[in-house]
Amino acid sequence: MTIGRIVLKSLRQHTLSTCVTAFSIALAGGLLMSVWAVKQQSQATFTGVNAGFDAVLGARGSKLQLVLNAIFHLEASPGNLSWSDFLDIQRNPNVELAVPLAVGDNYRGYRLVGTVPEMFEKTEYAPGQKFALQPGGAWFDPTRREAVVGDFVARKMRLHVGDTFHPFHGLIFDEKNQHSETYVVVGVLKPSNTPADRVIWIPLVGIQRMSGHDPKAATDVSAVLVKLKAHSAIAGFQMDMMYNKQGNRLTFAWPIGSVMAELFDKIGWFDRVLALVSYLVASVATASILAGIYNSMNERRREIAILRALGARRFTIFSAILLEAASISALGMAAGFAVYGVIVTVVAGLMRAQTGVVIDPFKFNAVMLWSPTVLIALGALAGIIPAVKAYRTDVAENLTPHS
Amino acid sequence: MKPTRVLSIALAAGLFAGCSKPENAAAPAKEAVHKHEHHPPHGGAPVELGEEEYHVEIVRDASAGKLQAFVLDGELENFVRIAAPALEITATVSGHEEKLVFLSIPNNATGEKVGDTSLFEAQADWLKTTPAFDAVLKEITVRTKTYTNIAFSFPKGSDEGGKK
Repeated sequence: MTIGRIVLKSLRQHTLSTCVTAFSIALAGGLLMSVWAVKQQSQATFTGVNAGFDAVLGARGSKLQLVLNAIFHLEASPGNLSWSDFLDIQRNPNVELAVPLAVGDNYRGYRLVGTVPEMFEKTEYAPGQKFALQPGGAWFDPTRREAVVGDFVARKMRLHVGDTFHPFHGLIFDEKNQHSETYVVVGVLKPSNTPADRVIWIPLVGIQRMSGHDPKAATDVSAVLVKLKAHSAIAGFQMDMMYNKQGNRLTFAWPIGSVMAELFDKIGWFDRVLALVSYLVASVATASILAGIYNSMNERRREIAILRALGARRFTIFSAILLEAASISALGMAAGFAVYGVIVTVVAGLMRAQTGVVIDPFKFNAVMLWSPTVLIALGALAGIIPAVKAYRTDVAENLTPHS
Repeated sequence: MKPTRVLSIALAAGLFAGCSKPENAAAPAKEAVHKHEHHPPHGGAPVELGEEEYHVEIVRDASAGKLQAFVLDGELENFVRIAAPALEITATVSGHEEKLVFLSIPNNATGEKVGDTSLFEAQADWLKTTPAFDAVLKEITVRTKTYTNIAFSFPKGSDEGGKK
């Protein structure tokens, strides 16, 4: 009888404890891989998404709130800037492009963002990638009540070119706050896998002059997206110093990636806690492998003695027990990939729905190699003590009949 | 028992090594005090006011023949706005004196106005061709303190970096 058959036979004999232990290994492995992969991908994606701009200028307040509002279309705007503030930065010799944004309305929970045509004509949301329309669409006329809908919104709200809708006031949908204006959809964006897919784009004046909005603020904007001229890292630093340290009116969030990276630093403890939980689950699962196999040694003494009498060496018995422990871990890790797939698919869907940011649930990550390796090694390690017990089994004593 | 003994010795060694760390940790802290430095944010010449209570950073724009003077705090980190509408500096250039009047610069982007600004500017043609000179800042009042006849040299400044 080969070691493999001995192991297989033992696993079958203890099916219930094998399945339960493997399941806890699956949970530990799946959770560990999910935490690691989601954290790395989401951090890389969030710090990499900048809509093609280097900085955001906004009212005095938190840089993070400014970036979340202007780039990720989350959060409320910290306040308004005057049109002259926009013109000032647009004229700055270090600025290549300045695009104003205005927010304050929604369509059934999906944000309306007012902007200018340059947002689509002159912007690359990723290197070499410009916003594009799905066939049959056109960009909005800045003088008309027209809208270009992000791909995600179009699918969720079933909006097509030619459809009309009424915006609602505020960032949170309330049926009672419907505006009287009617907008017509003239285009739907191709998926860009950026937060731009989750909003409806309308002309800047549309938001500024919407009925019910303060006419005194008719030329104000919520934020200005700023693209600096190439090789102008010093310019960014100088502008950062001017607005944020020398000034007290406005906030210049630069560079955008660093602002998001600081957020992840601040909440880094959370994924460490999740990782700790998965380490604990792995420890408990490993301990249950140890306990399960160790306890079964009493029942298997005679079986081991028989194997030894038939010619099996002590080392063979030792190896069989180790292999059995490692096999339970391996089975658990195989199921762990399924657990990982479920968790990451759900998380990716939630992230896309809430932020527009897309992560690839099945992108290769080094954790998919070291996590199974470590857990299988831990399983084998857990098998050492029962294996030593099996190794020391006395043949003569355990072959002696007891009746 | 042997494994237990080995473990005990290892633990003791670890504790002993840990206990010796505070002495080493003190040394870097002492070094940090000696290396306290100020870095002018615009790369200009730092001019110390009093015992590093405040600074004025002088920045030259050779192509425009302009000098900028920024009023900053003791650490050269935060801008300090003052009420003065102008500052006067007398520079010694090739043996003769040149007077420079720095006017306060309002800035819509920063919210600064004349009488509430940290930036002053002066212009003169000789600044285009003179990279170094000695000068005296006649008088400056920052918050409640007045400093007079502050001598400095450009581009070195007058702040030794806080080195003791």
